[in-house]
Amino acid sequence: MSIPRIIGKELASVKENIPFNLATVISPLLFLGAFAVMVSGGITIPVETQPAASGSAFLQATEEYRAPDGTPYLELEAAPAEGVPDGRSADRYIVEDEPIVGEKGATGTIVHLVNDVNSNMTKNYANRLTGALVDYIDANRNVGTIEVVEQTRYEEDIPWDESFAVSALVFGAMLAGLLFGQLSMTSEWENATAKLLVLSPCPAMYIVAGKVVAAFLKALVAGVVLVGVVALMYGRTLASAPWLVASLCLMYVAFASLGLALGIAVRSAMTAFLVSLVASLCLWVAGGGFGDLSYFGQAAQVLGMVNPATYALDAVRYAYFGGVASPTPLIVLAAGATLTVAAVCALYARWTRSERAVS
Amino acid sequence: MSLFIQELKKLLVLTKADPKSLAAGIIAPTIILVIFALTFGNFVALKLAVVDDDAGDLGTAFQEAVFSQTSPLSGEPYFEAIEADADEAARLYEQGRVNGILTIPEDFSERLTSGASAQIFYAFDNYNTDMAKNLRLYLDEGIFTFYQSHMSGMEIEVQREYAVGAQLDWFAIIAAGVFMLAFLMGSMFNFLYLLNKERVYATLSEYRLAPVSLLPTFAARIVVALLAGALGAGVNALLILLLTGVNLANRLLAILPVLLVLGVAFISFAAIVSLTVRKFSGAAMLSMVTAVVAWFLSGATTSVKYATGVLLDVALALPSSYGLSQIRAAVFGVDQSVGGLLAAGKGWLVMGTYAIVLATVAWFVYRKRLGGGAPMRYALLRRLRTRA
Repeated sequence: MSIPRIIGKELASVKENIPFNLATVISPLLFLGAFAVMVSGGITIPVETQPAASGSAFLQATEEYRAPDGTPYLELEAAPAEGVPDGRSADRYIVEDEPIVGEKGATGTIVHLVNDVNSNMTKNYANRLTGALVDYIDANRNVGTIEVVEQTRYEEDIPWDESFAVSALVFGAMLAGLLFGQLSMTSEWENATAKLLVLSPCPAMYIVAGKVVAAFLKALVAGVVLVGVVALMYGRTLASAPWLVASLCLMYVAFASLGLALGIAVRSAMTAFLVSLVASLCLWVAGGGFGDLSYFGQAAQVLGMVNPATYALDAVRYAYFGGVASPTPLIVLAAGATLTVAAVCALYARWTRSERAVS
Repeated sequence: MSLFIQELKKLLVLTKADPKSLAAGIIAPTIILVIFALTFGNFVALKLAVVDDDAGDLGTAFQEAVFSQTSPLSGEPYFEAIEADADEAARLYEQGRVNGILTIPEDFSERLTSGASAQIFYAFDNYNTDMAKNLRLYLDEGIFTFYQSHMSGMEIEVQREYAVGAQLDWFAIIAAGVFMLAFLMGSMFNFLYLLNKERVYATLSEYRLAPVSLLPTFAARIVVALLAGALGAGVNALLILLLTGVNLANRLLAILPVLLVLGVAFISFAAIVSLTVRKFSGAAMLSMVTAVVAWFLSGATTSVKYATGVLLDVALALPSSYGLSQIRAAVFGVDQSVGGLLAAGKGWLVMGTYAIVLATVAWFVYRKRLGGGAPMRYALLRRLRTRA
């Protein structure tokens, strides 16, 4: 049986389980939508103030304190009453002594009332208060201040939700590749045709190539849908379409191969699906998809170096936003894809020769 | 009652005979927890290359102010300084080995001591607004400290007071959410896996011949699924204790009812989707993915009290938002609810409604798909009696 016929058979088998194939296309979309919604509020967080902003020049300035792209850091609302807030409220900035800034000095006392056990939110509120104070001092004093001249990589900050959505493409690539890859094998188990595969005179490499190519093509369809949705949501002109195509295609090949290996090892589609979902999620988080890797310690950095998602994220971000064009991510992905295909060929060949293959 | 017990025994034997389903339900959330521990449980300082060309002493003082600021999140400094010359700094920045370059020009001290304003140059990667925000505001922490120590007449004071009893690592907050996810994933997966197994063994058709109601069998499946979820969550809780010191067992009495109600809701949802769609595997997959997505949207990584707009609307529509809020409130001793909408009373109303409605619909779908419906059963019995 030639490779094109194997590919044809794999593609025709989509009709056997349309819901599964559809679910494989829809699942990354669900995650994309969820992640985009999760950070849709951007970098603005609510804060209660005492007094109301109208009662304090400093608080009025804080209300106008923004990132260079115009996004306010804080959304001020007057605290409903004095005294300790209930646990449902945001943190509070209390102006005990109104800050007065002049050329000869600056006075004032602000209390940051922490109302969340999450130390990350305490950090966020503390940073914004400090930033607002620095901004207020710089605006009202001409001597002894420090002007920060920024030289950013991109002309404008990339919106958080758009950056997240782009990184979700990598998650989608891993998930689709694994799911279609494992389905090409678990469907053989479920249809009781695994024996026929083992007995086939067709070289192992042909069968693996056919299955991986077919899974790649199906994953490509899922990827086109995902990229299309991102394009509709944000309408950004790609900095480099070839980079996007190359990085995603290499991920599809690598993960379709890994999915095939998973399907050989795990005979149940349900179990293989769960492994695929968790593996994609963990690789994505550990690769810097959820939070930049530079925030995390040595263990995460070491993991990141051997994680294909790390390189895919770099490549896809460059494809969308431009920046520094280093070929390293694509080289690593290409090497990884080649190695995984070779490894799966060897694994498949070994499996067909194994006595357990037909048990 | 005896049918319930018999079905329970059968499902437990089935589970025991194929421990892969249990293992998957335990291992999956464990790996998720470990990955979050390695990342969000281990924050370190961002690296900045520093090029100090200042001819005076204030450049050094400014550096010290910037790099001595510590984060309430990790207790670590916000920044780690990498001293370099301009070329080396640029090389490190291009390679992505530092997050930015802080350049203090030659006239920094001179301008400040002469009473003018000074400049610093800050190059950084603003590839997303959140990272850019952190890089800017962390630098402002250093600038403010420098103003306090070197600006004449600078007497602005910031005090921090606490309306809460403790400050917790962000990972501990996330871990409580992973615990809930472990329970839900374990339960849903067990329910779907056992149903699929019987579908593959072709034993589901025997349900059509049952002369009595299938309700006890449905109830037994839910109970076994909840037990499987509890096992997975238990393992997860042990790991959370090891990683964070947070003992979820202490608040078990408060957490258990929440998990049970949410478990019934999510298992019922999985049952509805997988039994309605003709091809089981695709529907089962979609229902599990939806559960994970719902987990993210329910405030998995941070409280929904900071959510606004679409995110808040979506979060408030999900029963898991209320459940997670109550679990965190019980474990950390805080009220995580927002404006009354996530208050305990309303939370129980929402979760309970989801559980009752979904369980009812799931029961009808289960009965129709497995039992063939009462008319079919009676027709079958009539035919058998006629032949006899």
